[in-house]
Amino acid sequence: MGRPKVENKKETKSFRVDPRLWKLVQSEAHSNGKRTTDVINEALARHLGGVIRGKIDVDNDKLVHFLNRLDGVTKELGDMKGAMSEYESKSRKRTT
Amino acid sequence: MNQRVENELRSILNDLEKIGLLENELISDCLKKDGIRIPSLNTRHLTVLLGLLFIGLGYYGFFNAGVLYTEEEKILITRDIPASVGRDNTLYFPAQVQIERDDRYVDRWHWDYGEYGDLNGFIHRFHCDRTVQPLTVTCYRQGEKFKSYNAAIKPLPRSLAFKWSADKSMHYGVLDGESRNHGLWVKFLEDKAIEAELWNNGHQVGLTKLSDSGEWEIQVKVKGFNMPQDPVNAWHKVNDGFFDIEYAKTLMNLEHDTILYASTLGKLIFPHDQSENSRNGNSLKANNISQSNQPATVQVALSSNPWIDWEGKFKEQKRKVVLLQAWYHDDPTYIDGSVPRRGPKIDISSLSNEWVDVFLQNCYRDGRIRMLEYLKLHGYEPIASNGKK
Repeated sequence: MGRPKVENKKETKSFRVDPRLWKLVQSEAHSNGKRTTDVINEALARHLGGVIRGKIDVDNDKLVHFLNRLDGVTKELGDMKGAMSEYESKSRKRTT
Repeated sequence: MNQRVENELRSILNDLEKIGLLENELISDCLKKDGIRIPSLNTRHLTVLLGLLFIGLGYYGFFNAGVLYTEEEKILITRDIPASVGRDNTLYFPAQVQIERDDRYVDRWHWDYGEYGDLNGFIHRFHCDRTVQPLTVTCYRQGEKFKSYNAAIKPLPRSLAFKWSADKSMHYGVLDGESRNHGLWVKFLEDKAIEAELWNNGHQVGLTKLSDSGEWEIQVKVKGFNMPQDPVNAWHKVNDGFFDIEYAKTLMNLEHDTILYASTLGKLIFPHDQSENSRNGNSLKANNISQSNQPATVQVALSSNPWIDWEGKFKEQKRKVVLLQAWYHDDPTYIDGSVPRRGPKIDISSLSNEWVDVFLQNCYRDGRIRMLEYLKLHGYEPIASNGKK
């Protein structure tokens, strides 16, 4: 006798993502032996700089602020694939 | 993965959300660059699919819906139409069914003329040829009353048919067992036979015309077919067995302002009577009844010959109808002979005083000012109670 085994344990999602996209990331992570959160983290670290460069809502000061913070994340990751130059957009350069 | 990295990314996302960039969208954009995306319809594919859909709908509309529209939507069927004056000032008898296409009638079906005449159970179908000017209609007999519209419906086989045109010409002939023109067709201009065509099961095989000297001259004929010397006299012999004599008599008893049944079809059905009358000098023309001071009905009543009765009665009715047209339009040109296409001058004195009285009263009642002036000029009081002054 004992507590019944929970088969469908509820998973805590670290990010607010569309459930269908989350499922896709989950399967991608599973096939690569990674956690779902890690796949998203890597994608954010690699591409978020480039994504926010394309957003007109972000003025240059804020853009520089966020890119500097993302630089920190990249360094922290150390051996993550792709240097800063790879994920940054070429069309909008830092001006300060 | 380093927890600090994760925390920092979380912090960055929160800060970006404060300036209006949604976390969900940012993550989706980033994952998309790694090739992870929710499958969705490509815009280009969507455009191609929509294009194919429009082309398909276009084909359907062109080959199906468009045809249905032209065949079904523009046909108007009206029932129980009262008598009226139509195109080319033509008197339209009451019709039980009228079929119009593009706002112009193509068929009128009659089996009850009401007060305008007795059809004796026969069914008329007047079919209008919309491509010909002036108005030209062909009258066929139909075996059954109108049920539903059928553009390909055939006339009753082996029956009398006639074609009437507003230019005052009239053809009488018969149809064969497959409702095609057959036998001898005679054309009248007003009440004078001027042309005849010989038909053989839908094919014309002969043509003869009345010359200026009053002789019938064969214009052309196919070898093996004999064109009669006198088509008017030969009509009922050549067409014998292809028409119902009772139907012909019914037509002759009908009175119409421009379709001269009695003095045209009467000559074809009873040519012997006509020729005898001519020989005896007893014809209506010889009597010159229209110029008589006596009412035409009196003289016609004296005749024992049915053909003269029909012709006399018809001519009197025709004068009355023209007068009524003049009343209807308040236009004396219908009766003063000034407009050739409206016929010769009408001699009002040839009509009975009683009838003219009523006519004058109606003109006065309905305010036909120009007609009243014309009548006054010709010796009739504007308010007539005793006919001619």
